[in-house]
Amino acid sequence: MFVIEGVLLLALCAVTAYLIILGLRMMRGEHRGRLLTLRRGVLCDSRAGVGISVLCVGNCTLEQISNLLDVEYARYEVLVVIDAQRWPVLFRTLAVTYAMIRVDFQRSAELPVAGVRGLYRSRSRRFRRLVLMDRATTTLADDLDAAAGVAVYDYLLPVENSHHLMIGAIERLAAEISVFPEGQIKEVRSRFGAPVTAFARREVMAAGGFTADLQREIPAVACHTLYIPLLRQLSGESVVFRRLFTGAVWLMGGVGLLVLFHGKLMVSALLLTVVLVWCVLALIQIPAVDRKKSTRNFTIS
Amino acid sequence: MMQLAYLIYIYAILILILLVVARAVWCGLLARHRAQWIEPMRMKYLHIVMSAFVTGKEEPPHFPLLHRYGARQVLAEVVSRLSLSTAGLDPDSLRHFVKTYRLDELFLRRARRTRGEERAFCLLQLAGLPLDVSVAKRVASYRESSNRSVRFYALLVQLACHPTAALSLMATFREPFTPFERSELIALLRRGALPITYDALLAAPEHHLKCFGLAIVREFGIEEAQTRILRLVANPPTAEVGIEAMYTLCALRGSSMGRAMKLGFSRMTAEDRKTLLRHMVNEGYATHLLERWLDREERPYFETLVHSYKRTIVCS
Repeated sequence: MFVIEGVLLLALCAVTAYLIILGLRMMRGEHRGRLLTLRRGVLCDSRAGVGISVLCVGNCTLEQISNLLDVEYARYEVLVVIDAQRWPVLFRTLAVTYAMIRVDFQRSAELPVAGVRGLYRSRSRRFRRLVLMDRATTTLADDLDAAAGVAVYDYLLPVENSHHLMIGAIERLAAEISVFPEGQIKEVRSRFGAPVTAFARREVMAAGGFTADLQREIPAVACHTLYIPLLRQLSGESVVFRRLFTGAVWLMGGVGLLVLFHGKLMVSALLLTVVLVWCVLALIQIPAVDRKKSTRNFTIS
Repeated sequence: MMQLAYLIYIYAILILILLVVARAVWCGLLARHRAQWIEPMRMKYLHIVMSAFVTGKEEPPHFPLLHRYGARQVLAEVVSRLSLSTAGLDPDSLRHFVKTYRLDELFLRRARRTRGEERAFCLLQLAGLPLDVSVAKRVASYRESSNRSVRFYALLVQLACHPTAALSLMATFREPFTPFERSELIALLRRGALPITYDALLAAPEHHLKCFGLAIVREFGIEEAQTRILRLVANPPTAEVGIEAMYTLCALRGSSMGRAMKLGFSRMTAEDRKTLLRHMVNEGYATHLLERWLDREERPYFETLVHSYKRTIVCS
């Protein structure tokens, strides 16, 4: 029993220490965010900024694509991969809404992927940054490889499953990469909101595409972690469920205090640690929830 | 013994939960305070400052509620942000504001009290104000900071104090400027707050100043610099300067750069060449322009990229 109690205490201490480090890093990220947000316009105006290509694959929606295009940053493009035979209505709607025309496509020598039926670019200058690819869906990795083959910029940001960009996410990502010397950062990840990782194009090509080993091949010194959410997910979140869950966690805290007075220290420590984990996670997710409210009614201008 | 350890752990967790909840409540209160008090004050102060600039009166305008806690901070931020985002503001009028309300002192005191990125933020706001020479000495110690942002923004403050000594000050910043820092310096140039010419930078022995000079040429499309850049492409002091010079030549879209471009291409690594080619495609270069400069192996890569922007029309 003594050994079990000791091991459990050590595990709980490790979790708490991790949460403290996370909290401190988040606070540091907040200060950095304030600095970069103030100077966001400077980077947007300049031609010196890094280029970012967003690769949109999976179950894309019209709303998601319009959200991805709503970015002020200049050196930016959105590559959407859709199977026109599987989603004919969406494909046709996109082609009409954004005035897409078919351009010549030749298979990329760097990442040769089969199944591409056509490549489309917009005739309208304001949607010049949108590239549409019609491809028979096989796997998400193949879709990403096909999009990466056409991408022009140096950093690739895969966006899947109807995830939406937070306001200012691309500008912040570009600013975070730009504060390091050129070429130093090969991977930028954000685990908050909807988890997302941006990769340097060179690394993707060197690894032969979006393979399972891609992240393993990049050394830790070339990775940069952001303690802010870049993406958010619209579907599958219920306010009632969230409130019920919040209530349950606080009830757990109350039970934890109650059993503390009855001398059951192990159970109390366990319950209170769960409450602490929830508190820290809730603090992280607050901006993602707020942004969701403010951008729900987005329309294409 | 174990019981005591558990008790200590539980009390520590309770304190942490309290701290997290307190922080959440504090953030909420701060956001409310900002929305109800700071934002309206900021708008009001901005309006008064702008009116003072338009009317051009000698005496300082009256700012309501300036005696309240935090009001001078709001005023300082308004003046600094206005100065950072506007070109051609009368520096004497700004200096008048700064001296009357001692706004520079406010930022210097905050910079002393804070650390890391927060200190860099204070220095950035300080750099937006017209400053006396004495301020440069007071921020000199920040130039040795372990935080790169603090070092860079301390340099910006010194540049704001001694704009005429810009070249020598920038030469003392030993590291190459990152793209973000370059954008900051170019923003200063756009505002007319950095009296420096590209040729002085291109002639400087420091490589990072040469790269910054090339960035200026690229940004403002200075075609007169083409001959000097061709020389840099032909004899680059470092590989990095050579690559920057190639990008600059592409941005200038000159017609008489064939031989230099061929030489530059041959010096680059295959990966760097591909990156440059993608950049050129995005800039709108046509295939026939590059046919002479690329070897047979690399030509198809560029042609594939260019064709993906075009549509073949068959006329019968």
